[in-house]
Amino acid sequence: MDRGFLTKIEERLRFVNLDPSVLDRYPMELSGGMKQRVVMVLSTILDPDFLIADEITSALDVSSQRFVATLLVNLREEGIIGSALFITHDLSTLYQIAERIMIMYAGHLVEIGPAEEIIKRPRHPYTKALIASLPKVGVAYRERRLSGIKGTPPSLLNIGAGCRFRERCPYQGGQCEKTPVREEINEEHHISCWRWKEIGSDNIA
Amino acid sequence: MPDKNYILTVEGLSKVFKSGIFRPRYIVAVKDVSFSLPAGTICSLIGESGSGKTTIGKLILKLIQPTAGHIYYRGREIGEIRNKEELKKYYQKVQGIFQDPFATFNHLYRIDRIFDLIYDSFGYDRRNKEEKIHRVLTDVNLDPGRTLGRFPHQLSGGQLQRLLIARTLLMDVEILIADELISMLDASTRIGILNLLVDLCKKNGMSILFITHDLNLGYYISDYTMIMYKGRLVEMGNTKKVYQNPVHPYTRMLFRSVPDLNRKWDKGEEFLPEQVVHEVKEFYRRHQGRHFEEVEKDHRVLFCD
Repeated sequence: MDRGFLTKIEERLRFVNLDPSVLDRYPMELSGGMKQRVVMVLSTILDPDFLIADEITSALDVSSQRFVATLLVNLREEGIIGSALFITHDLSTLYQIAERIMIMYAGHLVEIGPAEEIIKRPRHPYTKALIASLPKVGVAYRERRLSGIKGTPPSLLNIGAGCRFRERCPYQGGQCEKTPVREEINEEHHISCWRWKEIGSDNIA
Repeated sequence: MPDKNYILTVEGLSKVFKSGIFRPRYIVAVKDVSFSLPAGTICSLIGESGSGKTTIGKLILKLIQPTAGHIYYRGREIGEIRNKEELKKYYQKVQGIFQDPFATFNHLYRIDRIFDLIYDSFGYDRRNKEEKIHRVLTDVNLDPGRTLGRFPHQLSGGQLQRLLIARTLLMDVEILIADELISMLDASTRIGILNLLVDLCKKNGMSILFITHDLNLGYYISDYTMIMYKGRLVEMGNTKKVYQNPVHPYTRMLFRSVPDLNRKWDKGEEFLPEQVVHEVKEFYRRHQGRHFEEVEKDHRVLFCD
């Protein structure tokens, strides 16, 4: 292997806090958190402009989750990667690192906007329900019972027109039978919901 | 002798695994663990992968044998349960639900056959069979008509987890070992399953050992919390007290890494999961000679191993 390239790999391994001796080890000898870091070195070794990170923290322990998620931000700040798309179902971790958040439901875009606005002032009924259903330290069953979202996601076979969340939505009404168009709340924040203006942004959390 | 007020008592439990044949290595998965589970409570066992939490669940379920120590169910050492009849009785009262519901079911059997088999094998009164199976399914918010005729692969992960809970209801389970029960479900389904579990626990007086690595979930459902690190219990007690006043360096590190929607991680703070090894060593060195001690009522910490 090219000496310069090897040096680059070793540098990157140190950047993710791994000893370069991992190069002599087999994957099965590494822990989950270490493996994920090796994968991050592998996938960013060519300094990509854009990185798609799909559920990279889901299988990790909480402490490794924080390390790996923060690492992604550091890689960007060091200029090693350009931008990243962090695909996840873990909103709490996403909020820690993302500038913008896009919420999807059953294949449709629901809401997209600055992370702070999406979490603190969610507008779409689905985003609101999703945030309200997240357990967090300080909320105990005995004191405050959280509610999930009624029903199950629709089958995507022959789903037809209309808002895909309507069956489970507390604000369901006449227009919802038509597929909602994407509207602008402000320049940065877009939503697909017929009734977003009447619903408002009262926070639930 | 174990206290009769507790439904389950674990005393000095250890498990060592041997790996390799020619040059065996010994892995201490669980080391000197003791705790008691009062009837009708939910106790979460929190730790990272490899900390030994699943091993404890398996030991209680008698899926593996302990290297040392004792487990008492209602005052009786479970190692003494050997004959088939008694073992069956034990499993009628002590059951486990694991992370992957797809792996738990026999995929060649329809749901009605699975429930029939469970019902028959535990020798319940055959006359009420159908009625009882319908009732437990309704209790977990499943429609018996739409569920019983199906195969496991035709149901969603959330529905299968509900079925597993229904199974425990059918058997009048007293202790449920729930190992990462909802880790595979998505956010909106999770809370429904959790609520269901706690409701049933309160209604039927079932005790739950809730094994998880998710501190948010642990806080939400449990009365007691136990933190495991490298095979040892390092901090345990009343959930609120442990969360409000964590003492052990490992527990403190865990709380610093929990993602919270109301607070962002401190960007300036250098955070390395590996560092905790040194912090724990230093903590033990400082407190040499001490062991498990009460820091306040219902809150104990391991100061030095």
